[in-house]
Amino acid sequence: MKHKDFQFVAPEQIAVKNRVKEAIGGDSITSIFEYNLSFDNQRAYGAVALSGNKVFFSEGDGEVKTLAVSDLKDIEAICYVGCVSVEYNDGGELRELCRSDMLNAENIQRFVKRVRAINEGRSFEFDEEEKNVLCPHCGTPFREGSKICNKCADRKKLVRRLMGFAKPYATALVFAVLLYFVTSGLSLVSPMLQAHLIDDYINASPVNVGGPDFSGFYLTVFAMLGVAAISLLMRIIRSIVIAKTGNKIIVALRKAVFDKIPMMSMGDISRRTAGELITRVTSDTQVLKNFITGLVPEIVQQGTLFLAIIPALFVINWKLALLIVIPMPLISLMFFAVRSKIRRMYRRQWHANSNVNTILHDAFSGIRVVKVFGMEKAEEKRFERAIRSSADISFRNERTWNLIMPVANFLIGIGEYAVLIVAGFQVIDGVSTIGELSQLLAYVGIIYGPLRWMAFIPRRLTEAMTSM
Amino acid sequence: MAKSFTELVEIVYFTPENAKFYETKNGFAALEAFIPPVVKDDLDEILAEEGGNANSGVVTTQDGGKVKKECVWQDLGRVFFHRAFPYELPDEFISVLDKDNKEHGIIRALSDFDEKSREIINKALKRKYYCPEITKIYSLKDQFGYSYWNVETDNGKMEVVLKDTFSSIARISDNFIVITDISGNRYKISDLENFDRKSYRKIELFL
Repeated sequence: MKHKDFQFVAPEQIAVKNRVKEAIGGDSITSIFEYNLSFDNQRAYGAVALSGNKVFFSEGDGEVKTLAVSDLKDIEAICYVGCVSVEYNDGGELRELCRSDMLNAENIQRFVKRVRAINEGRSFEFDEEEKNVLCPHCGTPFREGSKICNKCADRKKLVRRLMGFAKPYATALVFAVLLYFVTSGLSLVSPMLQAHLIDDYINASPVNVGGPDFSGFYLTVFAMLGVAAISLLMRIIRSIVIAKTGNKIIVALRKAVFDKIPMMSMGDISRRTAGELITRVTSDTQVLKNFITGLVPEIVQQGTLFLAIIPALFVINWKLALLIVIPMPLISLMFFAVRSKIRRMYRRQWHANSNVNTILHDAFSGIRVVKVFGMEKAEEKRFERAIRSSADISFRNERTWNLIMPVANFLIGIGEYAVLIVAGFQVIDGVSTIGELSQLLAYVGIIYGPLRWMAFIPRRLTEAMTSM
Repeated sequence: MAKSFTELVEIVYFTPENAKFYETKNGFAALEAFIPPVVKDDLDEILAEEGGNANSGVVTTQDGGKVKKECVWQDLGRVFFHRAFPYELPDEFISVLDKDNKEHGIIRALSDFDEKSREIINKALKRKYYCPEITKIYSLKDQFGYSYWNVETDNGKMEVVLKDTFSSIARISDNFIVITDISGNRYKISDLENFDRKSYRKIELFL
């Protein structure tokens, strides 16, 4: 069982567990658990199984031994620091059956409860499943309170299920996406008009004694104004449609999640805290709504813009287009590389700020205790350390951000300078016009927007998948 | 009956003179001690003394006065240990407890005892406190809000999964950190200053 480089369950562990199962044969297994420490806390691989009134156990390559349940008198799971041990009374002397680190602690305690119930002639209070903290297929931890693995889950199925909530509002969403296409198209038109304005009017050689034809000039300017106005109107309408649709979707999502909760079994509900359930109903549904009404249309828009501009660049000047396109993979990689560092930096800051809030909360809610023990000065010093630490982290983050981001943006924009040099020479040589140059530069500026935006897609997709 | 403050805080210090540690046949630490008689079941003693503390080391006389009980050698059987200062003073102020977590006394310093006793106590402490020391970090990956560590410890190579990495690392001192994984296992790095530099850079941002 592997998760990339990780092997959460060692082959020796699997082997010993299988050996124990084989020894039990066809009989049903009431409870089985693995353990991974020896008597002196060295690594070991063992398994213990309860079948009927017998306990089967084996360690390493040793043979499978059996004990009657009735022999395990006063059996107890003793929790130490970082490990748990199973001990029982063996003829007046305490003996250890096995021990493990905390990975198997819950299963061990479940086993002990069952053995005691059998010894005391009781039935089990409720049938608990053997709990896996890690996905048995890939080793990824389950999200708390969930049995769904983030990696193994069928995402297409999840997305189809999610899109089912958007189906009643498909018309509005399609309309919003169409508006995205319109605004993207309009953003390509403006540079064209600008080029026409520069080449045919501002930079034109006077052909008549009376000067250039200004009616065309004013028409072009008004056309540019019109394009900007229409684009703005489209964006306003799109925002309103998205907001309205998004709110309806989030209501539907929250209702569906809330309706599901009372239908869950007591075992499922008790496995989750109130905070988790509330987060599911409030935050997760918000993330999903943002995914449907924000991320998906944005992917469509940015992707379309990107795919539309590239051919346009090649049509205008294929050599310059190559100059812009070739460095793109490197620039994207650079953003990806920087992204995770920045994310960690700001998470650290979040924790530092959270620590300050915790201290304030403790101090204010426990103010009587602070005063009774005369701990005012100590609390002051504690708070001062926390805010200094938060301030230091914030300063370091801002410094790093202001070092990395301007440089990264500059490097992204370096394509523009390369284009300026090459195209500039072409203008000087008369191969290109100034209008074409400005159009090209405008497209280059537009293309780097989607590129920067795409660097942050994986994180937003991850958030959405986690919430699903 | 109300106990006095001194009765409440009375500490019995174990020394080689009043404590003999031995190992049971199943490898557990046990103790013979020269202390006031310890009653296994508090209820009997309380009924006899009309409300006194069975293990206080003090009895109430008929005229209402208090006298200390006579110390006797007694086999306390299997004992458990608990470090009062697990990080700062791991070998000092070790509480000796019975299975119900009632304190028999305190070992002031392990160095007070002979090698054999120290070995028995250390073995029991090692079995109680399982906290592998990380000596090297081969890889550290962040994914889905969890971090996956591939590390070398004094107990072999291990994979560690942390949920919310920042909260899972506790800074005990400038040089000492304890990491708690998703299952509750603990790992320590007791000397950050001399920690492998390449490994240190992997966790620097979390410190």
